[in-house]
Amino acid sequence: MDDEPGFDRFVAEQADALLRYGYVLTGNPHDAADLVQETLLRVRGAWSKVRRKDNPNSYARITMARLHISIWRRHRREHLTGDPPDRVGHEVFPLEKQQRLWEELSALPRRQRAVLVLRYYEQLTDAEIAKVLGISPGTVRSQASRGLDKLRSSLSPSPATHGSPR
Amino acid sequence: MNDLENELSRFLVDAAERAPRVPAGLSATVKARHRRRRARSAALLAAVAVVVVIGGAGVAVNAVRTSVAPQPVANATDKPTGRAKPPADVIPPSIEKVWPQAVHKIPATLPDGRDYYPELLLDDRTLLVITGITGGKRRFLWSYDLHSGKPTRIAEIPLTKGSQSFADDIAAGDGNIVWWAFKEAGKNQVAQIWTVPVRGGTPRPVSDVPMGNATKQLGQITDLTVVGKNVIFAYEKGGVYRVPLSGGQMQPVKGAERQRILQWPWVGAHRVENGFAELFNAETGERRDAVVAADEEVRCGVIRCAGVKVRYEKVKVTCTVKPCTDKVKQKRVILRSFVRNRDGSGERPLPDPTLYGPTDLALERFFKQILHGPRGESVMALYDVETGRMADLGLRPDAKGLISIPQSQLDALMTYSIGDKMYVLDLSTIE
Repeated sequence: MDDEPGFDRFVAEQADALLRYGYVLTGNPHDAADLVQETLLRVRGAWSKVRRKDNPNSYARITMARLHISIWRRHRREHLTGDPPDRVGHEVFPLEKQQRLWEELSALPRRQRAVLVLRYYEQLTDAEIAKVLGISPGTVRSQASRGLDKLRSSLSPSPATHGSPR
Repeated sequence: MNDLENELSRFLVDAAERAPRVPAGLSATVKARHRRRRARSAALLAAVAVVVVIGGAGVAVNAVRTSVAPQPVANATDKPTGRAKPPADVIPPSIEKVWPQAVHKIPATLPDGRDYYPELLLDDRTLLVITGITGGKRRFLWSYDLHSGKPTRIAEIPLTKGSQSFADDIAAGDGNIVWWAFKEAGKNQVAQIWTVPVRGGTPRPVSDVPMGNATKQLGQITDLTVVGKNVIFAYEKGGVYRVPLSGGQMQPVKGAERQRILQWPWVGAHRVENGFAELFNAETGERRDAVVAADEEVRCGVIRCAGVKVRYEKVKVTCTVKPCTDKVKQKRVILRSFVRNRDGSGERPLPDPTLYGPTDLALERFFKQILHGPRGESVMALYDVETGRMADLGLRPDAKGLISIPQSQLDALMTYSIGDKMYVLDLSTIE
């Protein structure tokens, strides 16, 4: 048995929002669903503590970010990207520019992408991001600026900077 | 924020709307997986990324050593291999054809329509199930006859007043079922172990179990086991105890004060790295240490260990943006993955790709794999490391592309549902 009052309600209220966050973090629906389920599993495991001490929602979101950049996720994801092509073609955006932005975001190293998502989707400060990801604020800044640079150069119409070598 | 930042911010909010919707029953799925994974939960919670910073440029690098899910590779040489690229695989025959004796296909609901969750095999034809997990306020234990399809109610699980918690970590042995609950709603300082005979009856509390004191939290109860007239359990943070089913004081099991139970009487340290590599028999004192090299990460059962050989190497990072400050990062390279006997003998490579890596083995023997069908579809298969045979479990991605994954445990039971059928596999019947 477990001390779980409120867990169902938490899932009912927050799962959609967590999936949205997971989707922009991971860039595809499969990994988002995986990430959310794994996160909820951990939230469930720590529920009595989380409910008592922390805000479950913020605990879940921090767990998602950490899981996403952790080696555990990376391995799983690498494994799954070698997997079925059935995710190809899911992410098609109406505007070419949006499509390009999405593809560029997908091409970023996952830490850079995580920093950008935490900054511009979660609206966290660099200090908060540093704490969540366990890196220094200086690294947050440099990762963010590098990520933005890549997006900027690829979104720029100049053919000279588009598609820089990788 | 400049234009790009504003655009990015708006774009991410818009893009998030394309996220998949929450699948029905997510909470129940999570809770079911939680129960099945309970034995591993401590390790998983500890496996949050550790970040190591190397190099003057302050490149943050993951250098986590975790055996939670190492990445297997295809060959068994010491050369690093790239990501597995999957052409269409040969899809094995269905599990009903390969191991018909192991498969029981039963309705996914009881005859009265209620959902159930399979807990464990009471014997080779009887499944213990619980109902009322989804939705219902009352929870019941049933024995389900796999041959006749007839469920028999064993007992209603008494709920702690005011608490929504329910029986978790259910175990059974020698004609008795046990579980535990918090004694008072909203307080998690004292738990109670409960029991009821398999043949039915009124559940009764066996003993109170303190969950900690003013200075120390012991974690929750886990690894419940019934042995003869005793219940044996461990705290999540370590410490094995025994209490008579007839009631009385719990007593520490000598020599296992910091251990967890792998499979009674085998106890050992439950760590993220090299879990249960050192085991000892709490009844006879026999030690059974696994052979593990310094560059290996393993997870062990009573007879076998599965793991990976790794190398940490510095790799040069190719930058796409000038000025480039990322010079070097440390990379964990999986050289090969293997399964072998605890004494180091009988090593063989694991197939690629096993789903969660070498740790995800059922009955120390069966690995799940996702294969690629001729149309690129995912096919969930079960691979037997003893015989090399493989069977198609029949699981496919749903309309949203999600595939459900049966849990692997040390015991012989594996269950999953397809449509209105529940597949109950008794892996112990496979020669």
